[in-house]
Amino acid sequence: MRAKYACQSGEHSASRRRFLGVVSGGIMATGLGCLTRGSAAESLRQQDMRVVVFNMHGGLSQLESWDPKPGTKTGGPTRAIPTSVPGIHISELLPHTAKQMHHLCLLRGVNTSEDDHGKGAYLMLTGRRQTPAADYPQIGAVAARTLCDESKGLPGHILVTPGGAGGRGNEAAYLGPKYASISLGGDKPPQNSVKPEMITDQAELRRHEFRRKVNEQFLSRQRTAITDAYTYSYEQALRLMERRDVFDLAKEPPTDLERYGNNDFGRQCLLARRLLENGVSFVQVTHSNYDTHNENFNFHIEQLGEFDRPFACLVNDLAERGMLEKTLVVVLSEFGRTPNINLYYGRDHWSKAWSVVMAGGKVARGAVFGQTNAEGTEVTDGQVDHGQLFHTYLQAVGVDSGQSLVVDGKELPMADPAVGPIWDVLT
Amino acid sequence: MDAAHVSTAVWEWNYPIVVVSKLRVLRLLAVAIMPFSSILNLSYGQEPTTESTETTQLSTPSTPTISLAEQIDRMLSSELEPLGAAESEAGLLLRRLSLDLRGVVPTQDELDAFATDASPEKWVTWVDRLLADPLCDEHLVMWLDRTLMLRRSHVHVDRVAWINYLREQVAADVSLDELSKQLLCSPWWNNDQRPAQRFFLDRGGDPNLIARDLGRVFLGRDIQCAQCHDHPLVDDFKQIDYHGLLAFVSPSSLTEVAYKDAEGKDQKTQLYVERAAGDAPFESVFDKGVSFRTGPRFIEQPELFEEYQLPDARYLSEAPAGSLAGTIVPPRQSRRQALADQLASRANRAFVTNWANRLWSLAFGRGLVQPLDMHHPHNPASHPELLRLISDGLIETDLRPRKFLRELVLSQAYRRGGVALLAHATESTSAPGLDLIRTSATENRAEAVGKKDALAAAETEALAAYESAREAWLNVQGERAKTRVELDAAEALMLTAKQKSNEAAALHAAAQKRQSDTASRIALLDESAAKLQEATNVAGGEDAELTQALTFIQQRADAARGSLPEVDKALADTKAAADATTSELAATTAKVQEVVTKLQPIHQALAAADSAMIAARKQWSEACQANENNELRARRYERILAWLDAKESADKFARELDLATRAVATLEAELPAADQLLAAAQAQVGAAQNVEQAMAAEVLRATESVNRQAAEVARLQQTLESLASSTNLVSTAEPLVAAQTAISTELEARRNQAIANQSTLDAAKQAAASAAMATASRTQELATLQSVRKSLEDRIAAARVVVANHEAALATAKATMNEKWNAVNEDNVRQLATAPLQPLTPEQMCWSTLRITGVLDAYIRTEAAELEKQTPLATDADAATKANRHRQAVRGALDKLRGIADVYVSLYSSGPDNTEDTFFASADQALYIANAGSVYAWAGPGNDNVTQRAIALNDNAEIARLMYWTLLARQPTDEELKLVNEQLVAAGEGRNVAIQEMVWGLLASAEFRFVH
Repeated sequence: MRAKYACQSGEHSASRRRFLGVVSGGIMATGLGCLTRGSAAESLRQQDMRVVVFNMHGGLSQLESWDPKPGTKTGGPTRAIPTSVPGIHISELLPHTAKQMHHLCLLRGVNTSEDDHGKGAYLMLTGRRQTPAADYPQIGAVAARTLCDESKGLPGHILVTPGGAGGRGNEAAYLGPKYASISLGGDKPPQNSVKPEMITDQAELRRHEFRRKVNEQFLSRQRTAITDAYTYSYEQALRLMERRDVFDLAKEPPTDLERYGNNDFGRQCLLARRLLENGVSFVQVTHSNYDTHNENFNFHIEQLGEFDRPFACLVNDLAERGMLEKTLVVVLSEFGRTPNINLYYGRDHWSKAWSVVMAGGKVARGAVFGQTNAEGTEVTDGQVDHGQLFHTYLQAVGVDSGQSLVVDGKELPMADPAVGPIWDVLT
Repeated sequence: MDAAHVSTAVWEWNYPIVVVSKLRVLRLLAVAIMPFSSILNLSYGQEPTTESTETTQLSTPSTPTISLAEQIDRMLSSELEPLGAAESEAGLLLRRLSLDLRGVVPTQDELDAFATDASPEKWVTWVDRLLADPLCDEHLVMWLDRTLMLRRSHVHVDRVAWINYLREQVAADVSLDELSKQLLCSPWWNNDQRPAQRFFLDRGGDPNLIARDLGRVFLGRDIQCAQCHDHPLVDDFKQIDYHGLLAFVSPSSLTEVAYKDAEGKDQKTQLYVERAAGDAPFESVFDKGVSFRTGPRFIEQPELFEEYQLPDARYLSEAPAGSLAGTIVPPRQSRRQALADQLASRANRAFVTNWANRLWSLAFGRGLVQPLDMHHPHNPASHPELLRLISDGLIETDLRPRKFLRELVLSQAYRRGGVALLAHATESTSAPGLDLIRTSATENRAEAVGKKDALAAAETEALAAYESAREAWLNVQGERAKTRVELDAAEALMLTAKQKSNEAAALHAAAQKRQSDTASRIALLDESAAKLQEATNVAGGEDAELTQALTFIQQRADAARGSLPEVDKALADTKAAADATTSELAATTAKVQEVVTKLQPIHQALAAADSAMIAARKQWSEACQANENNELRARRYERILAWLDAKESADKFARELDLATRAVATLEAELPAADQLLAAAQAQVGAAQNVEQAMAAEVLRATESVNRQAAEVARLQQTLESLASSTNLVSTAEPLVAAQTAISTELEARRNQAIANQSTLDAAKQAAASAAMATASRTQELATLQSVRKSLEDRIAAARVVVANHEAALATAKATMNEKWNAVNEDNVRQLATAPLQPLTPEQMCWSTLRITGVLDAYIRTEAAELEKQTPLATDADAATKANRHRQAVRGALDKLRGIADVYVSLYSSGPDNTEDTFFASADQALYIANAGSVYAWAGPGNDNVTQRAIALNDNAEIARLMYWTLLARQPTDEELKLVNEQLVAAGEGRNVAIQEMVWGLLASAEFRFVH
């Protein structure tokens, strides 16, 4: 009487594809790996795959960014500009990003049917709709669990937010706090990563040496996975203390800081680059705030003006340094904004037809998938939702999103089993 | 039963506890147990007998005089494990008991007192002492808080109020069913018992969340996944189970109520308000379009059918006393009341078993069913019989946690240690009894494997029966759903009719009023006319205006009289209309009643089908558990055999390594002799070379001598020749002739000498040649000896490679053996043969750290002093008053330190919404312990803590013993004594700091982190 777990539906509905630019056919990959089991995690860790997510907090307007509709009644004053990929145009507010278009893949047919900030953010970050009696881990926690190589001594799930103080977040749900985020500000390392001043360098070495010897005695009698995990956590802590400079932005050349822009978001992007380069498997950068119920256009000029250059720099640097192959970049939001312009020159919450951007990993380059109608009021092709996107993020870094994660002996599907990835955007 | 007697004897023999070498006890025990092969029937979750499958009601214990603790031991002694552990040593035992009962490690003074207590009643005394400690109350409060609220945050009920509410319950020893009833059904219409409503309020009144947590917290079943479809992984959790639970709470919701408080001020509050219920349909996401309905029902229990009530009879006629003004009147049939009555009932087996298992887990570190919220047939109890026994026992102890825990920790089983006997015994190469274990394991495995097919077939068969019973039930369900739809429709018609009838009645009432108004108007007008007439008469008809008025009034009266037929008609019409609607209402109501009546037999059929299904489900569940347990049993013996094989292989490698090592030694022993020969040959070569050199020198000397003589001869000859020519010139020169003669003579002599020299040279040359030959031959001999030694060296090197290979192989084999042993040990833990290695909870970590460092007890002392200052106790205060004062001090201290506990919870717990905290270790935990400063600072001397006490000692060994005893509740080993000594010696002047560092190191050690 075991219920048939949904290996059906979903992902096949997105099979019509509409590609512009450099992407050609031959993209359809193997079927959904529902039935495959076994741990590919080890090899993944060796492959050093990474993810960076830009969370455009408040709801980025797709019409002022990835899917402009100039000259229509919904388009507002925003114009479209050509990009490095002939035929693809994006908003004039993203001139630097336009030059990186050949790395990016725009998904213009996102429909999530959720206009509430909290619920929208939840479904975009977990790939599931919020239900009262269940909680799901966010993408960062799943990435940390599947991609992080613990031996590096660095946390696998980092949030970069202004004022992040090194505390542990609570996004891991049943995966457990081990995969919860550590939040960092631009220049603060994780909490408690410096030894107390009252302890001399020599004493520091001595007390840890003594601790190790005490443990050796105990472990020679009782040694299990959990005792190992506990003693190992102290070595991890020491390694993290040694690698504190990974979090120190001052170690980056001043010219880079200049290039990224010496403001909050510029520094955050540079820190994200530094963390990714040092092997942190998941970084989420939040850019606030796009909730433009009033003065949508002025606010987007200001906000995207701040976003454009550092973001383009990061994409460019990842590509130049050969890291883009192994790093998935995602720009998401809790939803988009209404095509309708309200009385206050604002746009309101809108989840029926908006855009998400991906780059790197196995994601097709210089591509557009999905389409909205002329006034952006409806998806006309390539409609996808949060669940499919979540699958796709994982697949883009080589994780078989149809697999389950085993937590305390329970098998829990890592992404919503009712849907699958958007194979068309994966190479 | 022989085995039982023998093993009981063993345990008794080992008690009372004395601190002896653990290893010795283990050896003795191992030897004592081994010979009894009957014990080796490593019984694995006994299959339910027909008798045991029977019970939802209590099975009466055979001999009621026997305590639960003894019953547990009787049951387990027949399952005593030869691979299990002996009783823990004293310190570790008290540490475990103290953590389990009080959530904190014992003090050094307690450890000392326990270790030296020689009373035969020692264990009982100490159990009772710890149970009476106010910290035990606090521990139970934290356990209840954790269990009931799953670390959710405080939103509607503040923490102090909640904790104090639980404190009252624990102090009053309230039973778990009583407490559960309070939580599930306190009056919601006011805030008098607000803390008790926290279960609902701080779940936001969300029916789905509450349904899930009712399952998790009170029934041990997490059926969340069955919300949208039958559970995909757990056959036993059905969507209907979920919705049955949901139905209890779906009519309730969090509602804001505005009211005026006692002082007349406007207040607002959130109440968890209950409304009258219908039963909502639900759909499975996997079978769209198939809709079912269920009323309230519990897993494994039939649905509760409520009496049908007409809509206007569903609420009480008036609000209960004390209701807040802004709230609604409660419904007549309260599902919350039904929930409390049925769920928190001793007759509800799932409820009782859930709590028994949870309390067992509190004492033993893991439930008989684990995870605690996964009671289902595919996850059977490790000891089904034992689970039944303790569930009955929980009822016998009146569902009082303290009383029940007492029985658990008084059992012998509780005292078993964490290190299995054979883990030690088998470190020696020849462990006695291994063959016996192999034989019995092989037999048992064969037996388990032999049963497999039959059990699997039985399960399949039971499953088929269950499925068909379920199918039958679902059919009736379908029937019911249809009829319910009919009822809904009839109800809707009835409500419409009701509304119409109300409207018609209103119209009729209006017409009635109109009629009576008209009649009274006419009467009044007539009366006025009569009075006016009278007045006109008195005036003698001369008042024209009066006459006019009279006429006017008479006209009005006539007009009113004229409207009467119309008014009467309206009255009749509205009456007819009202009568029509009334009869329509009666008809629709009758229709509703008819459908309700029609539902009755369907409900009966449903109940019958339900009972049949529940019975079939139970049968299947038993078959499934038997099968699962047999599988586990087979796996257990498989694991034991695998471990034995690995051990044999390791032993073989050990033997081979030994041989190889010895071969190296033998070869190495040949080295000195070879070296001696070599040295002698070298000496001979040297001697020969010396001779050869001497001879060569001789040849050189002789050659020189020969050459010198030849030169002399040549010179003499030349002289002679020159003299001869001179003689011819001066023939008379006599002297010249004489000289010529002398020279000739000398020449002759020289020539002779030269010849002699030549022969000497020849002889020397010959001697030199033979010396060279001798050297060559000696050198040859030396070379031979050298190659002999070289080959010896090669052989040694080769033998050493063999040793290295064997060493590597042995290491691998040992690793494999350990791995296999860990698997065996996992079963040992499951079989209760060995105590699990259990991480301290975040709270235990916190309070234990604070106790060790003296902080906790200092706070308690301070609180006590503060209380004493406020209200001094009378000098003759009785024990109860003193105890109460102490309790207040402990509560105060814990309240003040709770912020620290919160830090530990934030670091070490799994966060909110988890049934249990699962162990994990992360860098931020270690960074906190290492660098936050507080832990290191607490480890400094002060508050009469371990550091301060250690600093006061002079002897390094004493210091080591004090630290290990206080922190780890055991004596240090020789190596550990040495380790501490080295640290102290190296520290020199910095001794005090070194002690602080070591105390910190022990607090940060793995051994401190775990109970074992």
